[in-house]
This record gives sequence, structure tokens and C-alpha cells, in this order.
Amino acid sequence: MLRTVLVTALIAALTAAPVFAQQAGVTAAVNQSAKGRAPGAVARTIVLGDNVVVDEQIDTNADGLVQILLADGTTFTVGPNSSLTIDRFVYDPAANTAQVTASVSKGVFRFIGGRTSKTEDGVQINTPVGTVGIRGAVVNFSVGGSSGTHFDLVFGREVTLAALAGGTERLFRPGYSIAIGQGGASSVIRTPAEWTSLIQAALTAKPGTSGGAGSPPSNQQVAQSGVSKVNSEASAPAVPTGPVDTSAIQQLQALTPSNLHDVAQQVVDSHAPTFSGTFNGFSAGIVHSLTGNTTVPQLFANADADDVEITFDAAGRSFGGTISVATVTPLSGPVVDVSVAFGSADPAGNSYFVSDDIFAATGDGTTVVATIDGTGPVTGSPGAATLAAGVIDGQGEAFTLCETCDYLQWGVWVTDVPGNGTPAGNDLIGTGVTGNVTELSAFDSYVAGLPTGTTATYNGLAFGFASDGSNPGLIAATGDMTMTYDFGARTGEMDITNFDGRDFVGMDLLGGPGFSGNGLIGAVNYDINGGFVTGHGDPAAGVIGNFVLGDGGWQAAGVFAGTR
Amino acid sequence: MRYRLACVGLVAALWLGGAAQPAFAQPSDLAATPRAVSGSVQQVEARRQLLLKAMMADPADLDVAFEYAALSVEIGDLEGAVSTLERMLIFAPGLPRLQLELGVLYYRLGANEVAKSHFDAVLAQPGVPDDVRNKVAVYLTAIDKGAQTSGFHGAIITGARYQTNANSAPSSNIVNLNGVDFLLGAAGVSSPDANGFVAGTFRYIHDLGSQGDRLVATLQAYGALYATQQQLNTGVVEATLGPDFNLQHLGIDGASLGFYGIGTGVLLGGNPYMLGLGAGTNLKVQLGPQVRAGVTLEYRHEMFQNSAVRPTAALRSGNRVNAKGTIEYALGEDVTLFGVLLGERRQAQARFHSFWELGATAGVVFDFASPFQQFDEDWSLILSATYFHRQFDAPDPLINKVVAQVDDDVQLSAALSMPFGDGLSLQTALSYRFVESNYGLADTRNFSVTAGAMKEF
Repeated sequence: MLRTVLVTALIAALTAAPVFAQQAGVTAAVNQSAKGRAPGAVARTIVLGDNVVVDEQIDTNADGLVQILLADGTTFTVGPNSSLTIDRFVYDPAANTAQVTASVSKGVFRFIGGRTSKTEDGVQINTPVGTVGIRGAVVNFSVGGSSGTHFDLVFGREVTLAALAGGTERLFRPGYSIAIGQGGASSVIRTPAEWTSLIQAALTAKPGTSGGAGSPPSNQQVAQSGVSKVNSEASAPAVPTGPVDTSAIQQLQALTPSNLHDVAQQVVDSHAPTFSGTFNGFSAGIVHSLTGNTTVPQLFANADADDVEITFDAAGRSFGGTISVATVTPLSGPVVDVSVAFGSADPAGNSYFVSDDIFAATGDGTTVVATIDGTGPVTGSPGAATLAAGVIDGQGEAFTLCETCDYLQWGVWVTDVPGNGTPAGNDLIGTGVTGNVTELSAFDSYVAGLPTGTTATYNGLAFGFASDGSNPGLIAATGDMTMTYDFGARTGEMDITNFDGRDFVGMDLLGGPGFSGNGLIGAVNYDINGGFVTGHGDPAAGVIGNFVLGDGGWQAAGVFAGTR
Repeated sequence: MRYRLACVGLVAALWLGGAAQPAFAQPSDLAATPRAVSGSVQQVEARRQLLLKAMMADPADLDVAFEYAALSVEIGDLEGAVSTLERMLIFAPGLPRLQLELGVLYYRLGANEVAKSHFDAVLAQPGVPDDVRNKVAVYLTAIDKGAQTSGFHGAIITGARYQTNANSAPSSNIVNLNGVDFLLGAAGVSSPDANGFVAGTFRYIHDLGSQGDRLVATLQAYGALYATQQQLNTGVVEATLGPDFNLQHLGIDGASLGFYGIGTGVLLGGNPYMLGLGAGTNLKVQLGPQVRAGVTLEYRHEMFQNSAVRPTAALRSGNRVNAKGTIEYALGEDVTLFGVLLGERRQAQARFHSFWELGATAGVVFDFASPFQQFDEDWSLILSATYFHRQFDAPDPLINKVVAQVDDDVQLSAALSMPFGDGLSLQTALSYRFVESNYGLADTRNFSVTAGAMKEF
């Protein structure tokens, strides 16, 4: 019995093999009329489930519609008035590879690749205009159809055409077509919408047909099938917002100042200095005893603008200079005659030029030439000489002279001048003001021909230190400064008011561009040295200078500056 | 007929030298194999092979066809599902639910024209169930909006931001300058502030009609007004223009290479602050279904403008080159990991503003269903951490005459995107940034909260 079965199977295999070698697939749906003509056989009407063999030509009439399903899952949907032949089909399920070669002579088709189109060089479709190669794609074919001859990449990776007329074309972007024009010339164009419509219409079954199926599916079956659940019910159209790559919030964050870190850091050093140049000016101050000496403090000042010289270097963020001052009153006892170098003018010094209003410098004191007791110059041992215009911008803002006076600078300084032991330990606490001091020739030109009585008024501030004679009775004080100047007579009058609660009105001045004055206001002696400064091309834009005031008990020294 | 096919199958097995499986399966084999919906990939694939053989044996078996189509969708072989449903549509011409499924499948493949023809056919029929009609309408709207190969897209967001250190200043009011401690004035110390902002990102794409090559113009704009610190009021505009080439021309799938010119303008505190001109190139590559990568290289010449409040800004003028490499990995449908490597070189007029910067970002995007059921779109939570190391070329003589600035800059952020349909969404973000620097002025901390409403179009 077993032997009989084996022999039967063997005979079947041997006799059937040549026939099966031509097996390609089955007709999975058929609307009539469609005919198949196998090699050497007569044409037959094909029906649902028929085998399609290699080299069998499938023809449809004007109503015909056929889907051919190959063993690897590839389908050809053949539209009306079409002719297709499967020339070759090889499928190796074990290797998961497949190859198909087909020929179309006319009509409309849709190719949907199974394993064939996942295989390199797996699909070749011969057409009257050349050979079409397909890789992983859904492709519409129209060969001599109502829209002419074209091959449309609906979806997938690649379609190529080796054209009989010469040349090759390649599609890799869905929505594009290889179009065959006059004389077989080929080109790649965007698929016109009407081509898609025409092919879709051709491949759509007409109402009343059933593709050969005895019981067609119903809406209910579709709804209950697993397809809806994993397809239409599981997905929603993507939000059609276009290709904006990153989330809006990320883009927003990238644009905010704290992430444009150069913007942010710029905020921090937004006060960076711009003030550059060498300036002269005036200084005045008070000797401050560190040891509680209760003797009347000395007041010191300079008389000539050249005694104070400061160079500002904004680009180098440094500044420095020398301040030379001497005792004004009282001239008894130890006398100050000191030249203090600091910042960039002192090789051992440092400077901090943070902004136009914020600067400070130190010196190590080795360049200090000081006499505090009148016995002669002493080269000081190391001590700090500091000039500071406030602490960063705190005090600097408090004592702003005027917003537009970019030709003026002022500040305070202190130096620990080493004494000779009698008395030990004194600080010089000084104020300073510098500017672009007007040259005599420029001033002469400016006032030339001006009659007496040509006056201008300068308003500004006075800033200095005051002492009531006790120690530590030293205070910093500010007041208002008004100066009226007669350019014709080169005389002037200055008022300093609200300075440590006192008013000094009508202090006479003489000279120009440097001017000075001394005398008595009530019981108070005054001694003023000053000069005009040039700003914005005006040789009399402002005035700067120093003052000392004293009545034997209360004493003060400081600087003033004002603008017209 | 089944008998005939079974015989042929047996012969095929012999003729193919005992290939692993008969070409056409017996329906009984199919019945013996359990349905493998939602099984492992191997199980689903094995089941699909059996179903395919069964379909060849009986193409009119609807149960087999539906199961094959469903499993094909599950496994990502949408073409397999399409060909099966197209066959069923030949059996039942114009069946609305079938055309709905086919339309969705083609839409998912990106074949919008074919999808539209199916959707249009559904709507053309009488008696279509409302749920089908509504679903179709949603897809048709999406197709209409996405149909333009050339077009203008963008997003506008407006909202408010609060920062604990809006001026990016040091938290301590004492800074050390060349060994001496200084007291910072009020303007120099960190201070909180809130701003109202409007930001927009816009893109115009002109399809060059050469299979994916495009001319791309982008515009990003940002404007913010601060409640108290007006010197921080910011206006930023950056525009790019250039071609983007599809590298499939060179046989490289899923990749594009773009070249573009860059123009930038920044207003700060109401004053012109910076003008920049440059050029860039970017390469984007799809490295697989889950992995996307990109490389960007940009050069800018930046011209900073001095102003009354920023008198030395021009010292920052110079050249800037930055390189960025990004990679995104889709861990699943709802989780995406991303990483960015960044490098930047700035060569400024003042060497103490010139620096090298290297950094990296790591992050994750979680998509999850909106708690409001009436909205289909997922919400997204983006968590990221960024680290930069900056090394400046030369000491800033103001701060330290000997040692140049070195920064370690860490930024942590969490952003939540909450879509509410029609392209509208709420966007919120929390971020914390701290900079550790050997220069006290750069040693900063900032915590910020941002909330805004966004419209995408």
C-alpha cells in the first residue's frame, strides 16, 4: 500500500513537474471578460481561483478587471483593455526571496510588491517603451491608455526605466512619474492628479460586479474584522503643521536672552568703560589720623592742574596716574607734600576700570614721596594707595556730576603714608576731579573781544571731607556749587551751599582759564584753585577745582565740578 | 478546485527539492494554527504565510483575507493589506467601510491622491454611516492641507516667562576682581523679572519639482518686554534661505542635504545690538525606521553694536562657527530619545570674548493621550539636560589678569505641550540653568517658568 502511494506520488511529480514549472499565481478576483492564453494553448475565459502560469497572456476587454496574486504576496491588478504576461516567477520561501518578470503590451495596471520587490532586481516589467525595474513600491502603469504611457510611483523606494529609445529614468519620490512623450522620449514629472484619477477609475470595479466572489463582504463584516481595529480606529491623520523640526517651546527657549548667553553676559558688564585719555585736574583732602590724634587735621590740595594727571585706557580696562598735593592749612607742624602714584602709573599697582563711573586703583606705596613732618622726602615702605570712585557703582551713582559730562571724572582716594614715627600712622583721604583742562591759548581765543559783563553761570556739585576737629569726626559731605564768571573781566564768584549744613556765598575768584581765590567768608577762610575744562569742543564747557575751608575748628577740603 | 491545488502543492514540494513548505497551504493547516493577532513578529509572520497560502487556495475566503490584511497592518506591511482590501473591493464595489480602510492605508503610505479618491468615493455614496463620514472628513481635511508640495507653515506662540535671574547676573553681590573684592551695585546683582513675549517660527517651502529638492526659507522671530528691567527687552530675528537636496538622487535613501544663507538681527534694550551674516549646511538622514540623525555646520560673522548702555559690545564682534550633531531614536510609538553634540568656536575682537565651547544634550520625549477625550492629539512631555564647557582664549584684564575664564554650564528643562485641536496648544516649560565659572561675574543661577498659547498653521 505504502509502495503504491509512493509510486503514485513519484509519477505525479514527474509528470506534473513541467506543468508546475510554469506556475506563477492565481486569479484572486475576476470581472469578465478576461481571458488567459497559455503557451501552446487556446484562449480560455479565466475565473476566480484559476492558476496563472508562466508565459500565459492575460487579456481583458472593456469591462474586464483581474487581480493576479503571486505566491509571495505580489499582486497585479489588471484594468480594462489590458494585456499582461507573467514571463518568469521564482519564489524561495526559505530564503524569503522572489523574482518576477512580466510583460505588458497595453492597458492599465497596478503593481503591489510582495517579496519580489523587496529583493534586489526582483521585479522587471517589460513594456513597449522599455524595461521598468521596481524596488519596494506600489506602481501604477498606463501603457497607451487614455492618459498615454506613464509609470507612476504611488509609494515606495524606486522605479527605473531603461528606455528603448535610450537613456534611463529613475523615480525615488512618491508622487512622481516617468512620462513617455512623442517619439518615446522619457522624462520625470510630478504625477498629474488626473492621471491618478483615470487609473483609479480604471481599476475600480463597476457596480453590480463581484469579482467572481460568491458572497462579497459587507460593511458589517468590514467593521467587525480586525482590520478596522488596527487601521482606521488606531490611527488619526497627522497634524498637518508642516515640517517644523523642533517643538515650538524648544525654539522659544533657544531665542530667549538667557540662552543667547552673549546677550546675557553683556548685561552683566553693560557698564564697560569707554572713557579714554589723559586728564589733569585738582585734588584736596584731609589728613586722617589712624591713632586718634586730636590735633587739628591738616588740609591739603594742589594749586596747578598739572599736579594731578590720570590716564584712562578703556580698551585696556586700566587707568592710573599721579596726584601731588601739599598742605594748605595749617602750615604749622608736620606738612604734607606728597606725590601718590597708583594704578597703571605704578608698576606694582593695579587698576579696576569697570565702567566710566566705576573704577579703582591701588599702588604699593613704594613710589610715594611724602613728607609729613617737613623733615624731608621719605620713600615710603609698602602701603596701599587707593583711588576709588565709589564701590563699583554704588557711590559713583550717588555722586554723579552730570550725565552728559563725559569729559569729567572724579573720585576719592586714600593713601597710608608712612610717617617718621611722629605722629605714627596717618591716612591722607582725598578727593580728586579731572578733566580736559583748557589751554591758555584756547581760552584766550574764546574770550577775545568779549566785553566785561559777559557772564556765564556754572552749576554743579561740591564733594569733600569735613572735620569738626575731633577724631574720628571726619565725614564725607556734598553740597551744591554755583559759579558765575565774567569772561571779559576774567573774574568770578562761587557759592558752595548745603555743604555739611553750611553755606559759603560770594567767594571771589580771579584768572582764567586757571582761576583761584582766597579770603574770608564770615569767620571761615577759603582757598580755591580751579580751571575751565573743554567738553564737546567748548573750551568753557565746565569748571573743576578744589577748595579748603576752615575756621580753626571746623575744616573741610574737597573738589567741585560744574557745567554751564 | 481545492483538491487540484492541493495536488499541485504536493508536486511543487517535490519539484523544489523538498523546500521548507508547500507553496499553497491546506486550509486544514490554517485551522490548526491559532490566530496570532498581537503575537510576536515571528508568530505573526508565520501566521501570515499560512494565510497567504490559504488565500491562494481560496481567494474568496473573506475570513482569511481579513485576517491576512489585519496582520499585515500590524506587522507594518501596509502594501500587503492594500492589495488584499483592493481585491475585496472588486468583490464589493464601492463598499464604504472598505474604501475607508483603503483610504486610511494609502494615507498612511503617503499616497494622498489615491487615498483621496477612496475617501471621495465614500462621501459620494448615499447612506454612509455617520462615523465613517466623519472619519473621512477628518482625513480629507488633512489631505487638503498637506496636498501643497509648496507652502507656508509655522507657529506663533505668545505668553509670559518668569525668571529668578532675568539679567543673568551673579547671585552674590561681592565679586573678586584681580584679588580684590568689590561690591556690586544693584544693577549688577541677579534680580527676578517677568516678561511677556511673542515668538514665531515660519517656513516657506518651494518644491523644485525634482523629486524632493526644495527651496526653503525660514524665519524665526522673538520679542520680549520685561516688567522692570527694560534693558533686557529683546527683539531677535533670524532668517535663512537656501536649497535642500534629496540625496536619493545619489542613491542614498532617506537623506537630504541643505545649504543656506543666514541673516540675524538682535535688538536689546531698544538699541541695535547685533547683526549677523553667515551660511550653513545640514545633513539629515533616516538611519532606519526608528533612528533619525542630522549634522549641522554654520558660520556667522557677527557685528555687535555699541550703545549707551552697552558701550563695549563691539568687542564681541567676530566670527562664529558651530557644529551640531543630533540623533533621535524612537524607543516605541510614545517614547523618543534624543541626543545632541555641540561644538562652537567664537573669535571675537577682544580675545577675552573668544572661546571654544563643547557640549551635549540628552533628552526624552514622552507622548501620551490627552486627558481630555474630545481631543485626539497626544500631549508631549520633553525632558532634557544640557552641559556645556567653555574655555576662553585670554584673561579679561578687568577680572583676572592671569587666568582666562572657564565655565561649566548646565541646563535642565521640562516642557509640556498640550494640543487642543485646530493647531492650538498650550505650551509650558520649567528650566534651571547654573553656570559654574572661575569668573565671579559669570557665576549665575536662573530658574524660569514659561507658559504660552501656540497656534500652528
